[in-house]
Amino acid sequence: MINNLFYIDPLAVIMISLIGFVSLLVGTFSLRYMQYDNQYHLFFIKMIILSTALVSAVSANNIIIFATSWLVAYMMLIVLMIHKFSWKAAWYTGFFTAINYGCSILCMIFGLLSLYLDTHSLDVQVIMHQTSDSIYMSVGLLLLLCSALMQSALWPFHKWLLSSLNAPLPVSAIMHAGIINGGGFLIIRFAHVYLQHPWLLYAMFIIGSCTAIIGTLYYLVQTDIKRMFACSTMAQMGFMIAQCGLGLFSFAMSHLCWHGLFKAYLFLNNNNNVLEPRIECRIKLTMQSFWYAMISGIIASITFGLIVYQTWPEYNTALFSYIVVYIIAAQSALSFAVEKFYYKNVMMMTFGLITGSMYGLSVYSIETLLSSMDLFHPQPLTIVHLCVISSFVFMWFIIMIACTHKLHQKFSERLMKWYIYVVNASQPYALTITTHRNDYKYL
Amino acid sequence: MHNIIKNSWKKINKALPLETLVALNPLQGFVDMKFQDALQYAYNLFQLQDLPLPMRHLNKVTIKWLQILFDQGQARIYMPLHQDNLYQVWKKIIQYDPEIHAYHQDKKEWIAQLPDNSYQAIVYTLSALHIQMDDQELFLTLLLTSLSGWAAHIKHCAQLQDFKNMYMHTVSEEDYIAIRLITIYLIWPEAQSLLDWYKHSIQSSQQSIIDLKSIIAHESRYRDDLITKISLHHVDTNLSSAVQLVFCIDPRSESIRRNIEILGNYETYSLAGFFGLPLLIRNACTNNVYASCPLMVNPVALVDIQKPCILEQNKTAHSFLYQCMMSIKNAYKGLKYNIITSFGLVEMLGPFVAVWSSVKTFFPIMAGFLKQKATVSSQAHDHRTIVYDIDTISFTDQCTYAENALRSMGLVKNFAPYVVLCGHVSSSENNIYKSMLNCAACAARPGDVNASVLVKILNRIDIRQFLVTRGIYIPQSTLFITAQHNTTTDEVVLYTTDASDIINQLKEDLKVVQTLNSNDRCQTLVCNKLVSSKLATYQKSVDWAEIRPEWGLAKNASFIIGPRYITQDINLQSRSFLHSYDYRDDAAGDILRNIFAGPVMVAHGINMQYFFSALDNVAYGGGSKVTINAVGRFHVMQGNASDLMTGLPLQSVYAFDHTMYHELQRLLVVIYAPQSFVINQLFDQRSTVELLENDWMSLVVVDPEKKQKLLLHHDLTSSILH
Repeated sequence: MINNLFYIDPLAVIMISLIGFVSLLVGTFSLRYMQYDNQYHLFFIKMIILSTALVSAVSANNIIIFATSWLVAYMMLIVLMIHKFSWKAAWYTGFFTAINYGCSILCMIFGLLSLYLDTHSLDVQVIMHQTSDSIYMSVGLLLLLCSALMQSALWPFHKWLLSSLNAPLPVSAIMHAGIINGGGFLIIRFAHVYLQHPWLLYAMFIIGSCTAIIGTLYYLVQTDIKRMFACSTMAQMGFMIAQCGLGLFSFAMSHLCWHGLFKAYLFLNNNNNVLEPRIECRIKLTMQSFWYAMISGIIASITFGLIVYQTWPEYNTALFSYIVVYIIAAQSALSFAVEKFYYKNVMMMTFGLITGSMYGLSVYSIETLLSSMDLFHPQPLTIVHLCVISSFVFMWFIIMIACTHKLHQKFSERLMKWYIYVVNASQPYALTITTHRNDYKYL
Repeated sequence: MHNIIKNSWKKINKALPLETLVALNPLQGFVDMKFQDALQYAYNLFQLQDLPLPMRHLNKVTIKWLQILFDQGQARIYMPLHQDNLYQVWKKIIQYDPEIHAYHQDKKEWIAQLPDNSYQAIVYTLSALHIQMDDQELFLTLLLTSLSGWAAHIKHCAQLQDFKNMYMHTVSEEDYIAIRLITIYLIWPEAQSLLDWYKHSIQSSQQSIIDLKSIIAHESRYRDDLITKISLHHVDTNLSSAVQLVFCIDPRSESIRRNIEILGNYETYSLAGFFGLPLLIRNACTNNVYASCPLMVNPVALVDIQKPCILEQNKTAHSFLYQCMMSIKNAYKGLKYNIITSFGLVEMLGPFVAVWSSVKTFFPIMAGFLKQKATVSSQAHDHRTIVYDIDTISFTDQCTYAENALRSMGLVKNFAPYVVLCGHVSSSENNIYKSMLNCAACAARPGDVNASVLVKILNRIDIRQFLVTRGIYIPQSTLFITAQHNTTTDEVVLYTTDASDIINQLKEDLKVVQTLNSNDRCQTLVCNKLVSSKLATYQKSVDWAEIRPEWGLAKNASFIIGPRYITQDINLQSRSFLHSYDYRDDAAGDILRNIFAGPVMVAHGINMQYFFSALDNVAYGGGSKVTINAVGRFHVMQGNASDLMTGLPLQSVYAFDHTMYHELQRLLVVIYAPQSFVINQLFDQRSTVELLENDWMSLVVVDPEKKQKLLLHHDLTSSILH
C-alpha cells in the first residue's frame, strides 16, 4: 500500500535531502534566533509540520496525497509568514500569498484531475510515463504549468513574492531555499510528459526568460536588502524554468538545489552583508584583456563540457549552458584585469579553469544522481532560442558597461521614465507596506 | 515663517545611521518642558495609533523615493538624475512618477510652475492649502511626526557639513518640509482637515498610558538603596599600586573594575572613553576618515592609522595574495550583480556556501575560531602591526590633551609602574546594530584607537617633561599601555609585548575576571548550557544566529561622579556610569563643569534612548530584529517597507516580547563634592540645569565635608536624604 502511495526515486531523494538540510539548518538557526519570541514553541510546531508536508509532497506517488501535502505546506507557510497577526501589513502579506497559492493549488487540482481523466490512474509514476496527447493531457499539463508558475513566483505572478518580506527572517530563508522551488519540482516531476508537448516547453522558456530579465532589472534598482533578495529569487526562478523549457531538466534541478542553499545563506547572513563596505564592480576593457577574457571563457567552457558531458559541444539547447560558463569566465577575467599584479594573466586563465570545473562539478553531481531518470533532453535550437539567448547576452553586456560608467551623471528624460517604471513595478502591494509607524506590532 | 519651520523641526531629534549608532534622546526638543508634560505632548504627536488615509498614501510615496534618494550603495543601478538639492530632485521626480501626478495635466502644470526655492514653495503651498497662520506650525509638525524616523534621518543629513550623495549636493530641513507639502497638495488638496482630525483624535484618545507614579516610586527606591550604600568617608590611598587601569565611564566597565580590584594591587579610574582626544582617524590604506569622539566635540586632530595593508609598490608574496583576494572579490561582485552570471554564480558557490552555513549554524564556536584564524593570518586586525602616526597633532595640542586627560580623571600623582588605558569594543556576528554596542564616546567606534594615541602621547619623554612643569610628575619607570575591553566576552586584551611579572599576573587576573563575568552574564542572558560560561559568551560574540549578543547598556540608571573609593564595596550591577573625580584637585571647578557638559549629557542621551525605546518600542524604538529589513546600508525598516525604525530594537530592552528588561527610570547623577561647590559650578550649565529643573534627571550631592547626602530640587534647593 505504502509503495503505491509514496515512491522514492532519485528526484525525491534529492528534494528530501534539500528540504531536510534546509529545515535542519533554518530550524537550528531559529532555535537561537527566535529565542525571545512569544510564539517560540508554536513556531517550531509549524516548522515541523511544514517540513513533513514538504517531504510528503515530493515523495508522494498518489495525486491526492500530492495535492493535499502541498496544500498543508502552503497553509503552514502562510501562518508562518504572518507570524504576528496584529500587524496588519503582515496579515495582508499572508493574504496575498494565500490568494496566489490558493489559485496555484486549484490549478494543480484541476490539472491533476484532467490527467486522471486521461490516464484513469491516481499514480504519479503511471501518469509520468504516459504517451497520449489527448486534450485532457494538454489541458492538464497547461494547468500544472500555471500552478508551477504561481508557486515559483514567475512573471506575471511575482508580486506576492515582492510583498512577502514582512515574514520573519528564518521563514523567508526557508521559503526562498525550499518552498519556492515547488514549481520547478512540479515541472521536473512531469518532465517526460512535458517533453512530448514542445509548445509547452516554448511557453516555459519564454516566460522563464522574461522573468529572468525582469527580475534582474528589479533586483538591480532595489535599495533595501530583503526586497533585493526577493527580486533576485524571482530572476533565478525564471532561469530555472527557462532551463526546463530548453529540456535541460537535470540542469534545472541542479540550479534549484544550489540556488536554494545559496539564497538561504544570503538571507540568514543578510545583516553582515549590509555592514560590509560596498565594492564597485570594476572591469578593464582593453584589446589585451578582451583576448584574455575570450581565452579564459573558452577554457572554462571546455572544462565544463568535459566534466558534464565528457564530450564536445553539439548544436542544441545545451549550448546555452556553455554560454553561461563562458560569460562568467570572461567577465571574471575582465575584473581580474583591473588589479595590477604578477601572473595576473596566468591567474585569469586559472580562474577560468576553476570556474569551469566548479560549475561543471556542481551540475555534474546532480546530473549523475538523476542519471537513471533520464532528465536531460536538449532540444534542437530554433530562432526563438537564439533570439532570447542573444537578448540575454546583450543585456549582460549593457549592465556590465553601465556599472562601470556612471549613468546617473547624465540626466536623460527617457532613462528616467524607464527607471521610474521599473521602480514602480517592483513595489510590493500597497496594503503590505507599513505606512504609519505605529501600525507595526510585534506582539 | 522661518521660525515656524524651525519650531516644527524642534520636535524631531536627529537619528544616526547604522555605522555610528550613538544613543540620543528622541525627545531632545522637549527638554524645555516638564518631563510629564513632554510625555503627554509627545504621546499626542508620536504615539497616536491612527492616521488619515491620504496621509498614509503620502507616507508610502515619500518612503519609496527617500529610500532611493538616501541610498548609500545598496542599489546597483542608480536613478539617472542629479540636482543641487533635495527639493529640486523631488520636483523632477514628481513630474515623472504617475503614482503622484496620476496623469492629471493640471497637476503636472502645477508642478512645473513651482518656485525654484524650497522656502518659497513652502509659503506658496501653505497658502494653496488654506492653512491659517495659527495652524501652520502644527500642520508642519504633523507632516514631520507622521513619518518621524525619516524626519530624524533628514535632520541628521541636514546637519552634516559635508553631505553629498549621488543624487544631490545638499539637504536642508526646509527642503524636506517643502517636499512633504507639495506632495500632500498633489495627493490630498483638502489637507487642512488633517488639523481637525488631529484635534479630534487627541481629545478622544485617553490620557497617556504612561504611569509616571510608578516610575517615580521605582526611581526613589533605587535612589534610596544606592545612596545609603555610598560611603561618605575619605580614604587616602597612599599605598602605591602595581597597576592603574583606566576604563571608560561605560556601565559595562563597572563589573570588570569591581572584580579586578579584589584580585590584586590594582587601582582603577574612569573617564569618557575617547580620553579627551577629538580625533579624526584616517586609514592610510583606504583613506577612509571617521571621527572618534563624541558628537558634540568637533574632531580636529587627524591621526593616520597604518594597518598592514598592501600598497602597490610592495610586491611581496603577501601582497600577491592580497591582490588575488581583491580581484576575486571584485569579480564576485561583478558576477553577482548582472544577468546570466548571477545564475551561474549560485551554482558554482552553492556547495561551498552550504558547508559554511552548516558549520556556522551547527558549530558556531568552531566557525568563530576559523574566522578568527583567517583574520589573524591576514593581519588586518592584529593590534601589534597597527602603527599610529600622531605627528599630525602639534606638540602643544598633545600636551594639552595629555594634561586634560590626566586631570579630568584625577590621576595626577602616585603613578604606578604600569598604567593601562582601556578602550572598549563589542564583537557580534550578523548584527545590524553592531555599532550601538561600541563605545558611545568614540562615536560608536572601537575605543582602542583613542587609547593607543593617548598612550603614545603619554609615553613621550618631552610630553612628560612638559607635564612636570604643570605639576604632574610621571616617573620614568612608568609605562602606559593600551588595552581593549570586549564588552561581549569581557575579554581584556593588552596591547603590549612586555612580559614582566606584573603584566603576566595582570593577564592572569584579567582571565579570572573574564570567567567571573561570564558566569554573571549567563544569569541574565540565555546561554548555551553545553559549554562553559566563558565559551558560551564567546559563542554569543561569533554566532550568526545570535539575536542578543549582550545586554548593552540596558538597565542603566545612575551616573556617579567621585573617587572610586566611595563605591568600592558596592555591587553596582553594571547599572552606573562611573566618572573618576576628586573635587580637591579641582578648585576652579573646570573639570566638574566639563563633566556636566560632556559625559553627563551623553549619559542622559543614552538613558533617555533606553527609556523611550522601552516605553514604546514601536513609536520610539526599532521593533523586533526578527522582521527587520536594512535599507540603503544606513538604516532599518520593518518588513516590506515602513518608516525608518530609529531607536533601539526590541531585543535590546525587552527580555521577551511581553517582558521588559530595561527598567524605566531617569538618570540619577550622584556627585561626591561639597554642596555649595556643586551649586556654584551648576549655575552656568544651562543645559544641565534645564534637565534638572524639568525632571529629566535628578541629582544627589554627597557632601563629604558636611557629611550629608542631599537631593537637589527643581529650584536648586536641596533636602537631606537619610
